[in-house]
Amino acid sequence: MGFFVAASVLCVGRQRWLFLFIAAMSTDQSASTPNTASTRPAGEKCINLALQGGGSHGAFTWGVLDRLLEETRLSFEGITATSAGAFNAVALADGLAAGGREGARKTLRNYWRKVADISARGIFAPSPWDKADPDHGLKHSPGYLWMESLTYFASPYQMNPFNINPLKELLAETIDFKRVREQQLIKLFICATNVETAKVKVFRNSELDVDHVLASTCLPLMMQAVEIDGACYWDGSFTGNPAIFPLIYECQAPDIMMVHITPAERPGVPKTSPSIMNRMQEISFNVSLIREMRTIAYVTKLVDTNNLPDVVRRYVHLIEAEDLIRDLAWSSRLNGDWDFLKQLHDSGRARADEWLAANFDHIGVKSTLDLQAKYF
Amino acid sequence: MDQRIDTAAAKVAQVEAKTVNLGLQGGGSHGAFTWGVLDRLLEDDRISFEGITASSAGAVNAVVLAHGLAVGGREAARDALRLFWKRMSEKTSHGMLQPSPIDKISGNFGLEHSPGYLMVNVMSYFTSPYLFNPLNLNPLRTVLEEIVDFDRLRRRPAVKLFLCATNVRTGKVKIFKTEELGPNHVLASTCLPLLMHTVDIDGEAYWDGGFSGNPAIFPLVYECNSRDVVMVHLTPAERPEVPFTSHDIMNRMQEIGFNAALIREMRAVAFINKRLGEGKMAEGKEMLIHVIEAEDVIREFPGSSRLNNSWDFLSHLHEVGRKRADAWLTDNFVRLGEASTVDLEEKYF
Repeated sequence: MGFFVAASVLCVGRQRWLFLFIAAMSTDQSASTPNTASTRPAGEKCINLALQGGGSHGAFTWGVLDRLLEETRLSFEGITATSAGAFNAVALADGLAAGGREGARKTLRNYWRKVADISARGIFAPSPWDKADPDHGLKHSPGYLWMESLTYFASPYQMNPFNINPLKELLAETIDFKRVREQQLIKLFICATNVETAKVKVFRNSELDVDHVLASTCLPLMMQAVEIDGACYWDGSFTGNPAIFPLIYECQAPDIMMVHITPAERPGVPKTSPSIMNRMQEISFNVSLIREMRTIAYVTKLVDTNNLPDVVRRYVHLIEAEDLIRDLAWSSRLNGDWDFLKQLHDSGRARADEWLAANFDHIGVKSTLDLQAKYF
Repeated sequence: MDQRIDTAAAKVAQVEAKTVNLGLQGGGSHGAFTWGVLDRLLEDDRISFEGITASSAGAVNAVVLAHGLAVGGREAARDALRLFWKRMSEKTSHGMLQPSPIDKISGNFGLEHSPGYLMVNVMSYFTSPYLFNPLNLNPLRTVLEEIVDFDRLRRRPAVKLFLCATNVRTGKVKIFKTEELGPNHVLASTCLPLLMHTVDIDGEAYWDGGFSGNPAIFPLVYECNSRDVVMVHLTPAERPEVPFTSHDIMNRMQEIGFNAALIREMRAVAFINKRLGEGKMAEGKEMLIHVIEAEDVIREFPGSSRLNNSWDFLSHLHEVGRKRADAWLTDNFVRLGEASTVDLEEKYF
């Protein structure tokens, strides 16, 4: 069976649509645009961002960033990000360095447009039945069903022995990682999971390359582990979705804006194997963040009671899509259909817009998220 | 190190008993290692227990230990633990998760060649426990109800229990405390969702505590006076090879998931300890962390061995647990109440 699988994968591999569920790309034009912005855009308020992973649902985060970038009173110091969040973060930093706020918005849009283009040609394209279903899942897509049942028996090492991952090629061609490494506008913290130690690994600006972003998005049943300096990595969501501590230890801005796209809360008990596995993964992908937020709440209390005189008081904010994403099928994370991405983007913009109207004045003044209610 | 000084110090310490808390991880049958550790610690009357936080198999050990202590002290606790593991082994020895002759020869205590295991393993991908076990039969419930007097445990607790489960709806950890415990709370803490039905308690559904705290440490910080936490680790955090097959990849994904919350919580403990040590914190509680583990031994067993209840395997783990606890007592007893005996930064960062 292993041979059969390998052979069939090699056939599909030639068509370059294997594993293309979240492809990263901006255009060649943006990559060759000269660096026009070398200083941080002037903003009245400066915040840090924490971006979760979630495959195609990252288009919601794109919408949020798109709206925040329009807001000239706002600038960013650090971004901690995992998986799809890492793609958004790198695209934002590259675009910002290349062409300021508008450059960042353009790079993000180009990237997601490219995801849609590639996925339209891929095995995970939604079938007409899927398109008619409001949960945006892929349960009627022959490619998805084939892949899903295969992953139980054949690992990516057996299905795809040559580790063909077009995502890698596209990232290398389209994001200017040299510019990402050299830019000093944004401090990037890209989270991955060390497979051998089970600990979180945070990659920073000066070392970032294609492999580091791939490591952060590596779902182990679909891709081979990514090796960097002799260590192997999987998706950062297992150990930090994302990790918050880099923003606390390495950034000055006291505000942390979280963009949640992994539903922590989901009413009802899953009773089929796929839905049980989906919920097991959602819970795992929230655990580190929940525990870290509890620590932040605890430390904040100590700061407020003057127990930690030299620790900076942090303010936490949240833009989320829990209610929207809860209604989507798990498999919609692999759905790169443009209409779907566009819809998520628009929701992200709308949520960010509402948030700014209600909370901009609170930035640097107070938390607008009740940590106790959300994480305890 | 000078052996004589150690012995002398140990003699002095014998005078004062030390009270510690325990943190017991889950791991199915590997919990027999924890049984061995507890068996050895119970023999040493210089040590007593204040609080126990535990998940899954750890929760089972914790409840049986607490029951034994409540009815007849240390010896009764040791007897109860032995009886529990013996009964579990007997109850499941007629089940389908038996090691096959090939598994027995391979010596790694796995069930990879057991027809029953292969069947359950494949079935769990496609049919849920709601389909293949509609009556929700669970031998653990029978054995627990047979051995543990929950009524007595609730009314006259000898130790503070904190059993961890995961709320399926919110994804958050839920701590069940001594005064509310019944068999359902223990089952909730051990509920592997692909093998068992969720456990409903007061209208909420629960899964294994391993997902959200393996175990959670904060109850010991907030609700116990002793600053010492003796962790008994079962879930291998470190595994020096990258898994290659789907089965191994899924096993490792679960191991990583089952360590994530603990690792993050230990980082918080280290942060507070460091602030206190540097005098940068006005008031606070330094937690002293100790670890008894068998990562090197458990790493060699395949994931399927967590479902192997053969008496050979359980007694082997029990023996390893006793030895590790014995070595740990010799090296570290004198430092209880004084300092952490594990380097938190090295272990959890």
